[in-house]
Amino acid sequence: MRFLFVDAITSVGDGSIVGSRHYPITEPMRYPLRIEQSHVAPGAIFEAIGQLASWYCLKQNNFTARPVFLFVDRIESRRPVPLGSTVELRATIHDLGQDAFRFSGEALVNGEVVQQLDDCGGMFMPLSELEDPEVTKARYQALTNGGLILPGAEGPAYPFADLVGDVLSLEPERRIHTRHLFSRDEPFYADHFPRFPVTPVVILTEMLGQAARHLMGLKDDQELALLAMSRLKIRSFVAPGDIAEVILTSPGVRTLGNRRLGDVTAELLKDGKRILRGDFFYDVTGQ
Amino acid sequence: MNNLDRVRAVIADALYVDLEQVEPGANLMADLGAESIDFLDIMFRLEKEFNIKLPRGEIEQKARGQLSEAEFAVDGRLTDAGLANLRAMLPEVKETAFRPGLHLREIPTLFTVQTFVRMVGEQLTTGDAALAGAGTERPASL
Repeated sequence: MRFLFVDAITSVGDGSIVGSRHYPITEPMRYPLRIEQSHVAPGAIFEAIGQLASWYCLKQNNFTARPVFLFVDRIESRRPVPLGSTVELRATIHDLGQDAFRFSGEALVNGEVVQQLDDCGGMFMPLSELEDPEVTKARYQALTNGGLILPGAEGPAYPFADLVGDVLSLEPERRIHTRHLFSRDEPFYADHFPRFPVTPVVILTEMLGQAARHLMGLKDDQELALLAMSRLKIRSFVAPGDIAEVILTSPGVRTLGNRRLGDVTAELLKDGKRILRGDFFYDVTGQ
Repeated sequence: MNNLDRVRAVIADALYVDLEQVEPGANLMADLGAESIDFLDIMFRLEKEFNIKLPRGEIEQKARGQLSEAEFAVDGRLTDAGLANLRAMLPEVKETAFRPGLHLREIPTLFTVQTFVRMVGEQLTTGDAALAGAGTERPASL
């Protein structure tokens, strides 16, 4: 599994960058619950937009600092992205300083916006503390000169369901408390980042989604669809060997026509400290 | 809502604490549990709330003033002159907080709710008037 989520950078403007990503049938960040509905994990799409924005910043600061951590004002996931799709990625960087940046972005399939990010942000860490800047620079060159697909872009589906770990308590549709140990052997640590392995945001948000599936009582063959997330803030890293606890609370499921919708407030704790919080909105109809 | 109440609401929202806890004299780290990443978040939110641009590192830069780097801090720790300048920059912070040997990276540990109220007020008064009065548009790119 590789954590290079942008295949190609097609244009770079003043405060904007455009790229693309093809998600093969064997994309590792996929939900293969039912073959006819197999789709890309929504977190992988916004991770790709975030990486695209990161490439812009890296180029601007001459590959000295990479954005880490994340603030999200709002992300809308308008529809699942089927495997086999090529997604156009766009990011607009509207504030780039020495220590932090903010951006918005969108992902499109055949001209239709499938995911939209509003006012997200991150802060910078010295690139050399995370990875070899020369490797990063060479990747950027390749991405802007026709594209780059590294080995590991295809493979078995990542077992997102395993991220739930132990369910410590459960009050159906109201509250769930889980605990998961992040194994040092997780495949994503090799790439994210070679010199400073930390758990990617996509893994954390999918972990929350899997806990939400339990909370809402969905069966193994039932889908949970992320519709939106807002006011997400990540305050610290989850490193290999860390134990993360998830607490989800919800006012309960509401129905809209034949759909069941769930608002969930998520918290992620490490060593008893809250390191992530966000509001998530799911379709829990389970079809 | 006045500036104080708007800043308090932003801080309460960013730190997930009750509004009542966000008193003007409350220290963000010691009293409200803020971490360094939260300061950036609060700055972002305030910029959006007031449609202003809050320059990063402004307090350190202003505190240094005419002092040379060596006159301001040695090995990252503030000199007596540096500390005096910083004290003048942060009138809302208790005198006892300015302990000798304070490290530059510890400056945020001094910040209170009132620090942000003052920063916002100053920016609204002296900042780019066109930007401050530009309705809901985003701050301009740097």
